[in-house]
Amino acid sequence: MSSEQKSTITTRDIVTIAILASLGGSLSTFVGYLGNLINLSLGVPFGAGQFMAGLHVFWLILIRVIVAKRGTGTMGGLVKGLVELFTGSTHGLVIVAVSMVQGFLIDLGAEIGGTPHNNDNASRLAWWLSAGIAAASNVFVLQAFYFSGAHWILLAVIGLLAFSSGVIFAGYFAWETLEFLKDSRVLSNSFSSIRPPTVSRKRVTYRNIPAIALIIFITVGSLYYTVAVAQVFSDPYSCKVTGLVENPFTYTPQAFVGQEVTVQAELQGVNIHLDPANYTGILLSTILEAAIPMAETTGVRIVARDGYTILLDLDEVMTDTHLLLSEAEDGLWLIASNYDGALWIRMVTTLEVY
Amino acid sequence: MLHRLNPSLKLAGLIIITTAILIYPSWRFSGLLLLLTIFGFKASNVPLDVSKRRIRFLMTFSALLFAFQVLMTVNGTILFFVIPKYDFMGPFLPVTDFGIEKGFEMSLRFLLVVFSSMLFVSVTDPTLLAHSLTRLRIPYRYSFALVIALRFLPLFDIENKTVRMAQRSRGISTSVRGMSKILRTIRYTFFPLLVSALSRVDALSLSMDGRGFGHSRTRTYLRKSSWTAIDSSVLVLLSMLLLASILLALGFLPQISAII
Repeated sequence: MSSEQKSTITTRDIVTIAILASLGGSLSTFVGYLGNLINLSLGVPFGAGQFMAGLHVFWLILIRVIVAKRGTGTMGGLVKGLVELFTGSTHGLVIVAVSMVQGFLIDLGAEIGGTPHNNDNASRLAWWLSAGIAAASNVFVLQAFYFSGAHWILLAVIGLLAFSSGVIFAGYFAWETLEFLKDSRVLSNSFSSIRPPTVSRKRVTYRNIPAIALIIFITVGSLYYTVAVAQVFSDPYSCKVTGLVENPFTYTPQAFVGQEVTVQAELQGVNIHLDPANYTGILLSTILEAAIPMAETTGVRIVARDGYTILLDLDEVMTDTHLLLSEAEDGLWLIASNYDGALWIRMVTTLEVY
Repeated sequence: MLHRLNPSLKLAGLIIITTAILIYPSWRFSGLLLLLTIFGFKASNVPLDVSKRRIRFLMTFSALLFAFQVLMTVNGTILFFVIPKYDFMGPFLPVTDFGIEKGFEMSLRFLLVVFSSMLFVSVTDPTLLAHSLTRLRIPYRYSFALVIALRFLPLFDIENKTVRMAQRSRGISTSVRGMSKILRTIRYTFFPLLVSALSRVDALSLSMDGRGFGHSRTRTYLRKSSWTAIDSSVLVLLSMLLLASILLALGFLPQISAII
């Protein structure tokens, strides 16, 4: 920790934070509107405008670098969020939470990156990555408030877009801005220039190659991870068996090989009817027997990925020979041939005995 | 009436309402709170159609949220298909009762958060808010940052117009077609604004220091916020609302949760 980070916040620091937060907050409200207009024009509720997510974080990076003291990122985020709230952000109070989280993440990044004065490439990398992470965090904070059920791959891709925007606008562009402010002598006591006084255009292009390579690597790598690798860790063909059971476990069809049953079932809903067809899977009673329900249990709560929940009587489930979990193209389906069509559940994630 | 409430209480109310609908995410509960918020606009004589374009934008956005949730949710009783069965094709995109419920839940939550924030902003004086925050033992040096930030907004608005006019007189037009043009536009509008803004820091901070800002642990105020018996009553009501949302979420009020 530098001695600068230990010192208390001066009036000059407070004024700097307030002025940058004011300018950033008012412009972020405009950028937010622009992003939402892009979303509306493309007919999506979120995501498309995320290519500008870094512009929101840009101001917080400026605040944290210019006022290089611990916690100023979070404070800047709070003030900027409140300015956005008062200038009519379309997200209301939530924007304060979004902005504060972004500021906090930048503060964390600053702890790792250290002071940006030392012209250290590793330090710059840490700052740029934290800018990217802070920009991406808005996707997940907004998801927690306004959206649910969006597929995690979609969220990952949108988060990746926001991350790239953060690296470009709040990383690369913020550094360019700081260089400019240093050159224009507005910054007097911080951020020593990382470039020599005169730099040729060819040299600038050459200098940026590592940053461009890093962004390409992160983009391609993350896409590969979300599409090919992470699928393994979030298996849609598994579900948790929890609640009042002696042996809670994660169900996978592979663990019950040889116990499959095939039933003929017909979905009879109010407005939909599926003709009789054969479904193969593991009986719910077999799965719950493996979990060993406790003596006082009376029912089972079945939860799907989109939050849909049904309750079934445990005794009826344990004696039903036509109630099974079957594998379908989007995950585990509850085939409930003796029940109403509304109880046929797609993408089952949890069986909770109560 | 809302104008006279303590600003910190109004902020607490906004936070409690947002928290309550996250704890108990029922569309009926959100709808009820939204109706109360709209009543708040009426009671405070704050016209809701003060900026019709913004309201239209918010309504369109919430409709989009509704449609997205409906189409993303496949479970529940299927009411109809967006693309019905045709010959051997389809049907596709089922609309379920649960999907519609989730759609209302999300879009009403969005409208509630935004409208309650708009109401809060309309009935709250930032200077009094800063004062009321100091009464909650937040050091006035920090709460004053909010006051400075809000007071500079009109100035930045004027400067932004000046910068744009100056750039236009030099033949520089703003364009957002392509990343390089976006960066160019940002550079030509942000940089002059930024330099102008930061060049005020020294003058303002020296002026504040010269007037003894931060010298004493306390300070005097020209306008002060106050706490009255009405504020205490509203705080009790808000606490009850938060408690009710927790009890509803835990299932301790089954008769009420059947209604909302």
